[in-house]
Amino acid sequence: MVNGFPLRRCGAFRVARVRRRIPSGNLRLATSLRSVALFKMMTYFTFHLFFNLPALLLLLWLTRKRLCKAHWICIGVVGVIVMLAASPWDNWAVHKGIWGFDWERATAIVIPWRGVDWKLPAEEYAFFLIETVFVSLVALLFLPKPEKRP
Amino acid sequence: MKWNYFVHLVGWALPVVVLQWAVGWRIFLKNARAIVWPTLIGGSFFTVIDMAAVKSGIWFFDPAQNLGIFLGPLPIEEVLFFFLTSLLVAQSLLLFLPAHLRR
Repeated sequence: MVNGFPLRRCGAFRVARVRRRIPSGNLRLATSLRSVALFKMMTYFTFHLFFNLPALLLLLWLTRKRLCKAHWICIGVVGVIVMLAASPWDNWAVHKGIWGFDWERATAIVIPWRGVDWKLPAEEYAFFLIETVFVSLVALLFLPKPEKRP
Repeated sequence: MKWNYFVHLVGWALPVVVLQWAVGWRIFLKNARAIVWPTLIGGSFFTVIDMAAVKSGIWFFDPAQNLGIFLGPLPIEEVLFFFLTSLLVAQSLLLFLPAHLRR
């Protein structure tokens, strides 16, 4: 075996095989470097786009036969409570520096209040609602189907 | 200092979990599957995608303010966060759902 190919012939054939593999190897390296670069460039927005959006679409499809208007109203109520509970909590953690964001890759929302610039990404607020919808839709899969779709 | 994240998380989430059980324990016991599975599925999914975000560097943690126990790139508090918040969402939904949409 030479470079993973069975060695049936020698001489020119083998050289040609080896030469052809060099550019393709380089190409593969370039491709993997580019995907690493893309990964490093991933913004908070594209993170939602790549990971959370497909998951939500899948869950919407899985729950399509059981979702009714009353579900959406309840999910909405929970969403409002989640926003009210999580926003001050998260802002406070970022202010204390427990965690932080790369502001080059997140959209800052700054709320000046009581002498402090409270700063959190718009995508973080979106995440509160995304998680609420995600978990609620999974829960629906384990709850009885409504009798009639309104 | 290193307990900051843990206290910030548990001090905020646990009283709500306890309060919800005090109010809705009958509903929760009858609908246990609609609490356990969303918590496990949501907690695991967000833990995994969070690893990608942290590896990429979109957000990061102050090493002086967590316990220093890691699951991959994530402090253990971050993993706990996703399971606790998924639990809170699942329980909250049950408390608001009309009776005919739950057990």
